[in-house]
Amino acid sequence: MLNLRLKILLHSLATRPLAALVASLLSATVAILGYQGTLAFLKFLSNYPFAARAVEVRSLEGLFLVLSAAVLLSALPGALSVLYDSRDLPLLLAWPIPASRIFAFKVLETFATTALVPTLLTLPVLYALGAYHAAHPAYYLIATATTLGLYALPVGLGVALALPLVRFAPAGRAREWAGAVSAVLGGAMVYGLRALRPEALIRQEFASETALVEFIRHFQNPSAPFLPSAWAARAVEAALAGVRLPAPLALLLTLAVGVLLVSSLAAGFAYQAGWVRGLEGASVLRRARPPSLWERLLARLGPVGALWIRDLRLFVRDPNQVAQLMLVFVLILLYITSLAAIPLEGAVFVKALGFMHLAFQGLVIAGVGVRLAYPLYSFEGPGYWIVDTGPVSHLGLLLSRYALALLLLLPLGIALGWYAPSAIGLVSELRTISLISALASVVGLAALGVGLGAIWPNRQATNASEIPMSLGGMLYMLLGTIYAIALAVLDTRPVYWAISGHGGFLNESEGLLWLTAVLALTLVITTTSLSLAHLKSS
Amino acid sequence: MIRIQALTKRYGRFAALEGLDLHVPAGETLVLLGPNGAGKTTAIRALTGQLRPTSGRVFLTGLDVWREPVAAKRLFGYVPDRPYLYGKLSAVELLRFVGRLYRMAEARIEARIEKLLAEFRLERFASALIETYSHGMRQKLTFAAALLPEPRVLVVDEPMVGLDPLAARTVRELLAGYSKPQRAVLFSTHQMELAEAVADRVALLHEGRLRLLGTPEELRTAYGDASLEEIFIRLTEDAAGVEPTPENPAP
Repeated sequence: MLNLRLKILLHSLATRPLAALVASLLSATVAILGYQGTLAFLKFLSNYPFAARAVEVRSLEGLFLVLSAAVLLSALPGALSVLYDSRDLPLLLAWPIPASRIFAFKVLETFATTALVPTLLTLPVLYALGAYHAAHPAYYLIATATTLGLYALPVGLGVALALPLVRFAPAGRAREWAGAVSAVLGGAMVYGLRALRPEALIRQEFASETALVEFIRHFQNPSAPFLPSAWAARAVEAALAGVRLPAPLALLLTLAVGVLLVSSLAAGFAYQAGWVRGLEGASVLRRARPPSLWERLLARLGPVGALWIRDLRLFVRDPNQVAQLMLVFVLILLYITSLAAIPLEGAVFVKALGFMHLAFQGLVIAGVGVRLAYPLYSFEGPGYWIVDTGPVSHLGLLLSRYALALLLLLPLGIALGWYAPSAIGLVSELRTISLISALASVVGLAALGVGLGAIWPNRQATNASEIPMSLGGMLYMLLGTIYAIALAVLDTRPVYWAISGHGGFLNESEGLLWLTAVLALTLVITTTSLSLAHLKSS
Repeated sequence: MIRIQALTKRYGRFAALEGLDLHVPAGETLVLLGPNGAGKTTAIRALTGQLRPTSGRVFLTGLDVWREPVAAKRLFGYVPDRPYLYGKLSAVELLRFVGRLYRMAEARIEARIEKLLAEFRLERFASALIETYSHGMRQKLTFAAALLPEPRVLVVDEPMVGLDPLAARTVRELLAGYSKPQRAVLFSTHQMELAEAVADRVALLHEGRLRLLGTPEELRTAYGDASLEEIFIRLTEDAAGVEPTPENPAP
């Protein structure tokens, strides 16, 4: 089965050699950036030897926690589609292969679809850590095993949770429930980040050396010792110290293998015993209902209104999308409450933090855009023929997708651009700068997402999380990050102006120049993205 | 009404369709026959604006499908070989969506929906989500969507897949009668009996080329009173280089 999958992969790479080459180059670039970035971070930390190790462990734990949450979020819907709902299952089960092998392979496939990217993001960081500390060769094996064990756990949990869902969820509702459960779990894990209390680093006032030592000791103790991400961080640290089989790794691997083994056996039993009623639906007798008021109002806009009505319905009825939206809400809440929790004394610190927020907000919008704007073309799915053969112009379709992306990202832009600076207590002028910058991010990133999503659509994806896993998705992240950084660079000027104690930046000629530069940059990225997409589709 | 001129579609050196010329006048039902991979679906996709031809042109009532796509697409209804629909919409929501894409008046949309759902016996499931439909129900709904705007041209790729006997009879009658008097129907099928029953003319494609064109009676006369199925097998085997036998002589 593995051979068959590898052949399919090789054939698909051979049919699109250019895309495969660019994807490989991009992956290599991300890996190199992760490796070099980690080395640079560790060198920077070495300037502060009293805190270096504590910050290193906490950062590692944070990375593990965030990526585990990402795996958990997609593991449950992924397990449902791979283990119970994949199209090749009936064929595979008809072949003379033991069912246990088929389901073990399917669990491996669930791991590959949900945890492969986080694994590939983590390994360069861990290898850089090993290189920096001149670790023993065994460290690299331990680091790889730790990563695999850590991400196997949420995959195993997803597989295990899928079982009661397909058994007990109402007929045809397992996927919806999976979306909700994974959103709650992912949100809870992300909220676990708060347990790391990053603001503790700056909350302390170290009156004496004893107080500093006490703080470091307290800070480096795992704040959530029962989280597997903390075990993984301990295992890596122990391996760096030369321990060949760290106890946390043994615990992690035993648990991961156990969960995977039991859940794959249970999945095989559940499928063959016909326990998958939650995936099956039955047509219910329901006669036609008249269109609702909002539908009649939007319908007046003609084909574009019809597309929006359809999109809104499909969006709110897609559990994955609703789950994404809930998670984004949790993340933004977490981000803003974390900003508000940082104790800031003095206007300069407020402005400095404000600049960090300004630099960060574009990246946040880019991150959300990859799940909300980029997939809008792909959401047409295999039913795209309806629009493709209907009397709708390609430009009309493109602009309707763009308007929808703006609608989805705009509340986020306002929350980050206006509400977050208010929570920090930024002065009115910097709040305005922040809002303009956030709105520019929304306008440009929505166009970039829709444009690249139209050029590289994936209408066969069964799960929304699969859509950005493509050349277009990676290009979006790369270009989106560059655009967000370019905006942040432009924002340095008004922040410097404010920190220097000047006011009225937007009324000065320099302010006008800044505004023109932001508008020009946004206009270039918006029109280029949409024009390329239009050229491709027409 | 439908005019296909020198239509060619190539993928590298492989020609899926080579210089296809066809004309389907108003009032006619034309059936595309051919073995798997003959180029039927490629021709239909080029005709419906989904697959850009390498060369050649396609006209619907004088409008070039690739130069005036929106106006041309308003003229036809299309049923694909696989009825992929939006699973999270109900039948009535999907039909309203299609009606609005064609800029139909709301009252007319509702009247047509009522009529078509009754015709295809789907009215009891009108507000159930399509994801709960069987394959046959989806196929019937796809027909309803194609017929909703009362198009002047109906294009169907493999119409009978998954239909129950009652729905199959409805569709057979529809394919036979829809083109009369001033509309046109073009459909592809592997079912020879269906082609013989409803076709005004038959076009046989093989390896991307048009091999045969005529009314079923003309073809039967030319091939010694053979059935369409026999003619189909003879022509496709000859083209594949099979030696004629006494039981299966060359025409």
